[in-house]
Amino acid sequence: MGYLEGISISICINIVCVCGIAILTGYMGLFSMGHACFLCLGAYTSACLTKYLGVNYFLSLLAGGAVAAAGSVVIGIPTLRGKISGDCFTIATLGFGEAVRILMANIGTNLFGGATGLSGLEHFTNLKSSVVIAVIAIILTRNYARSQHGKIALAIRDYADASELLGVNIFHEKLKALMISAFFCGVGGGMMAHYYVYIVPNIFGNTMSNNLLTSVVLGGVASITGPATATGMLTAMPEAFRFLDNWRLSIYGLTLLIIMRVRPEGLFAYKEITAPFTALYRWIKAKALKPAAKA
Amino acid sequence: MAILEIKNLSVTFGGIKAVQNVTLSVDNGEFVGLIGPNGAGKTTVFNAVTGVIKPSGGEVVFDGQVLNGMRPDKIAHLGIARTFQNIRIYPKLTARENVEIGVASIPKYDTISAMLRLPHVRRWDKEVKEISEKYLGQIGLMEYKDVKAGSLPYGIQRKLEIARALATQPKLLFLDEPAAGMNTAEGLELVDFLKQVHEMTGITIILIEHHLEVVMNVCSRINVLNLGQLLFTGSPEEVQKNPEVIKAYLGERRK
Amino acid sequence: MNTFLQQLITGISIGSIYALLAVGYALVFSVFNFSNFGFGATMMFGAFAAYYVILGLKLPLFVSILLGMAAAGVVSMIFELVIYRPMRKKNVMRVYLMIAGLGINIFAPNFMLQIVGGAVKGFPSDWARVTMTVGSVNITRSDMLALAMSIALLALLWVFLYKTRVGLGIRASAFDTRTAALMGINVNVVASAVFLFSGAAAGVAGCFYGMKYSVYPAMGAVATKGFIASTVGGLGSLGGAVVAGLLLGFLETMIASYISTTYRDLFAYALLVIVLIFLPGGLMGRQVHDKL
Repeated sequence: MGYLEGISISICINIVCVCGIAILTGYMGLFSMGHACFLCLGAYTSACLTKYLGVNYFLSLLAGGAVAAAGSVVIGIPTLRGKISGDCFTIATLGFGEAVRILMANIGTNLFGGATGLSGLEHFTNLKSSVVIAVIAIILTRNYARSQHGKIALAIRDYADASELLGVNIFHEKLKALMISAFFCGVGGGMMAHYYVYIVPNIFGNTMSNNLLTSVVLGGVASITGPATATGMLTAMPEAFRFLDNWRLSIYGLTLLIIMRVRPEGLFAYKEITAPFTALYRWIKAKALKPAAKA
Repeated sequence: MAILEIKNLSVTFGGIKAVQNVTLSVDNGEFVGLIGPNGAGKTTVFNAVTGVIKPSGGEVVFDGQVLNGMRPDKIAHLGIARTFQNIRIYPKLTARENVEIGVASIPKYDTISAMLRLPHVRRWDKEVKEISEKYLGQIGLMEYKDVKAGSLPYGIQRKLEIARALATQPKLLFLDEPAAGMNTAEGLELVDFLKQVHEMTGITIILIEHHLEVVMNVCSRINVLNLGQLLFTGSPEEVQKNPEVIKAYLGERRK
Repeated sequence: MNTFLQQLITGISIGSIYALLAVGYALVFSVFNFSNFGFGATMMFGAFAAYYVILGLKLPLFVSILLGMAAAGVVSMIFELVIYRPMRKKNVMRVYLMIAGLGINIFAPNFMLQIVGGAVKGFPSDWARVTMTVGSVNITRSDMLALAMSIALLALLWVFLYKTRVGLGIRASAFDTRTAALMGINVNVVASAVFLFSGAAAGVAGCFYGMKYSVYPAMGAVATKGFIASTVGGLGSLGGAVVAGLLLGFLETMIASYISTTYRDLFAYALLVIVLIFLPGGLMGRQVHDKL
């Protein structure tokens, strides 16, 4: 597999995850320090399904997403209810992230392989399918964001109390945003498992969560394509600046600080980059029309 | 027929009695004023009725239902809407989107349909958009529909908040100082506007206002609060003549 | 019984570290209504400052702890001055303040890692490692010191908050920042004081944690426990923070000795979730709502 191809697949996987988190952070204004655990849940679910049961790769991705979304309910119910501050949600996600990692390393060792993880997975993730999934993820989350749900999310973010007085069910909307973010991270986790062909609990740590969060924050609030672009940049950059590798995390932290200080809403806040999608739409339309025209 | 009955309502904040034993009722279709010096507990009464804070005693009955302990969004769905003393317009949404939140606070489609943007989602979104524009038109804000609410002038934001509240199709509307920060001319313009809204919709309105000329002009009945207690209830003329009200209200103003 | 007593002492001494951290969070939250997620970095800087003071300047332990405390306080004040204050002036959403704090917390340890390396450093004080036997219980001097100094500092903080003018300003701002500003209280002075004191608390906590375990760039992660304690105690409540910090330290030690060390770190989060389910406002929290 080519070097460029590898980076491109990584970018696609990150885009899938970041699209989900953009709904949670960019629209709902909640932020998580432990979203890697949803990748973990998705990766293990998807890997076990293909490895032990021979389930179709794409179905296993959906199942991974579903399990991650179900897992997110566990953290959402206690922390998103009533007047509990968003700070509690953030810290609870950190704890949940740790919990998932520790549990995966300690329970069901026969099935999940403990701390040494699962290996010998099939290499199902290829560039073509990854690009398609990433585009689908962008379109689905964008649809959600522009629907009434997306507007309500922004309303809750700005004035939760006032929104509740207009009849908005804050808990339900927050939980939906969390479940969507978890679902896409779960799918991304499944893709990751079948790209690296082996997974260990420890790769789904704070570093991964923080990278995803940095992408979303850098990309901008109330935007899907912004964070998607940002994660593309952040994934490709370390490859280009290998000599800075040891400093990467410091640079991520500094990036967060600088964005917050200079442009807290992020690079593409309230904007969508639509050109590639209109082009894609035209291309598909042209392709679909061609055989029709021939006939 | 009373649409709202507040019986012996009390609210305490950390030992301080913000509202004590207030009893008042409002008839269907009335335009009632709620006045009183600063800190008299006017907004606290609104907050207690709309479920933002828990009353420490008493009962609130709206349209035959007891509201105590109910969640604010449930109360909103029963038909109570309000505006806010400190404007709570969503600054990043356009004027129309602000009203859309009022029209459709609970989307009529599920998450998955929304992501797939199924035909019924598009249809419903279009419907919500049209209804919202209808409300904007009624209030006379059509020209601002695609403007980000945060960049609208102050007076327009106040009106937009009223439009958003009306869009929830309330039976009872609380207005919390809609003329705050306006001069007398703007205040009088608001009087006409509020009268129009009341005639047009026929809903019950309760108004908190510091501009007395506004309250005296639009309300058929005025409740006066002082130090958390109901001081007097009567017509604007009676309120203006009542010595106790003059003492509490004007006395505070002279200070 | 003796083991229990031993665990109790250990629990309280680690609990007093959590309490210091929790008070720092609570202090900032009570005035500015956001959680300073950069707290772990502050704590780490305090510990490193004390470490290098002992190693480099050969100063006695007490002096170096005081210097570590001062360094952490100043670092915390600088964070406020260059990051939080300009953001507050722009009236940004609180989420951004938290993300900025997280940025500090990602940047600082990784930066230190490159500068000093990731090796775990034992706190260079032989005095602190000596174990004393009281009755049938063994206590290290560092545990004793942690306990005594935490109590002394919390008392000092109380005196400051309730008996001085700046303290009054802080309490007034905690009650209602906007009104306090209108009443002529200089919010910037209050902010500097709050961050100085919370930072100093974090610095001391860092020194004690360093003595008890060791000094290393990622040690700030333990500040999360302080945050959990402050949430369990009720966000913004100083009394709640102290009680919950001690409780958390005690319960954790019990879990570690009687159940399993693997799950010890998870216990804090479990406690958080349980408290949020049954007492959404925390043990001593006040319910806050938007001033409508």
